[in-house]
Amino acid sequence: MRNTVGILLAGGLSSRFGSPKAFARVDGVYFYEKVYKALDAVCDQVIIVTREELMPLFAKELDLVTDLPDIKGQGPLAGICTAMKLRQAAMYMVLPCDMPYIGPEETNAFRQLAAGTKHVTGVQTPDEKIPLFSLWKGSFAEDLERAINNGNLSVFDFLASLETRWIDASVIHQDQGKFRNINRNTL
Amino acid sequence: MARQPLKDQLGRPIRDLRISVTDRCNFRCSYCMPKEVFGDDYAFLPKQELLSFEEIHRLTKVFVSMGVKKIRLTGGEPLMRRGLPELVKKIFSVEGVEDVGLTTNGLFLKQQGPALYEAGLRRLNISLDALDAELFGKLNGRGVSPAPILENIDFAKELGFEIKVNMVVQKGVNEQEILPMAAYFKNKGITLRFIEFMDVGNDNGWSFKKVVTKKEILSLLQSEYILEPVEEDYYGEVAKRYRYSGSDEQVGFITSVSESFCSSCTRARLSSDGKFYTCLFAVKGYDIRELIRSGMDDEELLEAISGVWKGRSDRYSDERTEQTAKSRKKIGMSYIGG
Ligand SMILES: C[S@@+](CC[C@H](N)C(=O)[O-])C[C@H]1O[C@@H](n2cnc3c(N)ncnc32)[C@H](O)[C@@H]1O
Ligand code: SF4
Repeated sequence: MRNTVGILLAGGLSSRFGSPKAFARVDGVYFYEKVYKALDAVCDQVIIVTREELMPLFAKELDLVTDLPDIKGQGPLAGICTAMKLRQAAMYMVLPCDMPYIGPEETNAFRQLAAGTKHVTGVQTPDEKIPLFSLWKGSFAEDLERAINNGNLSVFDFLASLETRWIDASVIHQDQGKFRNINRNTL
Repeated sequence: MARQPLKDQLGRPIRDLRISVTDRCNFRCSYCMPKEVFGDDYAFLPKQELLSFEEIHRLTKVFVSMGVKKIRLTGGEPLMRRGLPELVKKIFSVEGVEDVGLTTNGLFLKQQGPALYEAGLRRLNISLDALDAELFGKLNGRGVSPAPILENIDFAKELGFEIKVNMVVQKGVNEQEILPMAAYFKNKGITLRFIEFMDVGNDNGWSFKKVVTKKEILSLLQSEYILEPVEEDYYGEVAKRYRYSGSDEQVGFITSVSESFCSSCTRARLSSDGKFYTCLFAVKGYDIRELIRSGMDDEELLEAISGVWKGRSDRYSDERTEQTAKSRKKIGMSYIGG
């Protein structure tokens, strides 16, 4: 069993960009590449959950999967569930492709700070909680599948059903701009 | 600009300058920046109100010409200030600076440590009040366990830093951590210094009853170890040091409450917005930022700042009583930097 698997959520279409978020660029680099690097620095393996039609756009050597048929297109919970079913691990770190300012320094600090995670540890800024920048202790695939099948697709609701700890972004990095989510905020 | 070291009203020379580089912090230690006061909407100083690195550099030169030899960078959390290594370089470039130290909670040492070392910094004081994860998480107000701090202490030591660890001891809060902390850092060959809980800042519920004195801590340590006093290294050294018998390992005590050291206090303080304080417990600071921004030249600045030091007569800790501790208005620790 792998120790830590990184789950890169790269399925979203951007309403703002009108093109896949994963392939928006910052400093000439695709968002997904940035996030991949951040996860790769602290994980034994990184799995990218994306859509069928985007598959050909990613670099060939990457570990790419799409949502399992039963839960296809049901949002981030389905992406996380898929990754947990397909890749066994003792620990998972989740990051969405629209947080391209998170780098290896931040994932490193986060992993260090999230040591002792009971179920899940997420990150929060003074403005919002970021449930998709999170560390999960072991697989929650069964619980996720149940929630999805019951139509509960809210990540917050799911985390509320577990023992979830929130870590302040300010203890991860002094620059709060690093935690910007490009979908909601402007570049 | 070299002159005779400047003395204050009580004949005390100016030797040390503590510079607070930011009023922000990622921790919310209950005795320093209690969450209830420093909430998510707390208005910290905007960037333009902070002294710039150029301004700090200039003021350092002026202070050094008055007699300052040692500089300490503090905060808030100094590692939250962007580009800190650059400032360290600037300070080291001032002729007459003999020593630069940094006081930090240690959380960002992974990120900033290597560049700081490269900039010439060698001495770190790292604050840690407990080894117990739950207690420390509660004390820092952020649920951060001691593990990352301990890891970063090892990391910084490997980089080559000389490290001291500071522990503020509060009665009924973390007294039980004294022996475990002593054992841990003795084993690591790192000097641990016990700081008596002080009545700095308003809002931290201070009273004499919450102070664990040096005497109490020492006798607790003596139940486990044989300790011998060490001579002071230089005039005005604040820590009283002891050596574990038969080893090179030491512990220190900062006894601001039980054995005040006002009579030999050589420290000046500069807040992050450029106010000059002649005592940690001062009520009012002298606005140097305004002077520097009004276009004064170095001679004029020297004149003005020297005047403040010459007039200095503070000896708050010598005179502290339960009453003054309560009634005196004080400024925040995170603002002045300890
Ligand atoms: C204000 S902090 C600033 C630097 C950095 N953030 C840190 O914690 O090391 C400097 C030192 O003051 C100590 N301190 C803060 N409030 C205190 C109090 N009321 N009594 C004694 N020491 C205190 C802290 O524990 C720390 O070691
Ligand atoms: S003691 Fe240091 S770490 Fe704790 S709140 Fe104050 S400035 Fe921050």
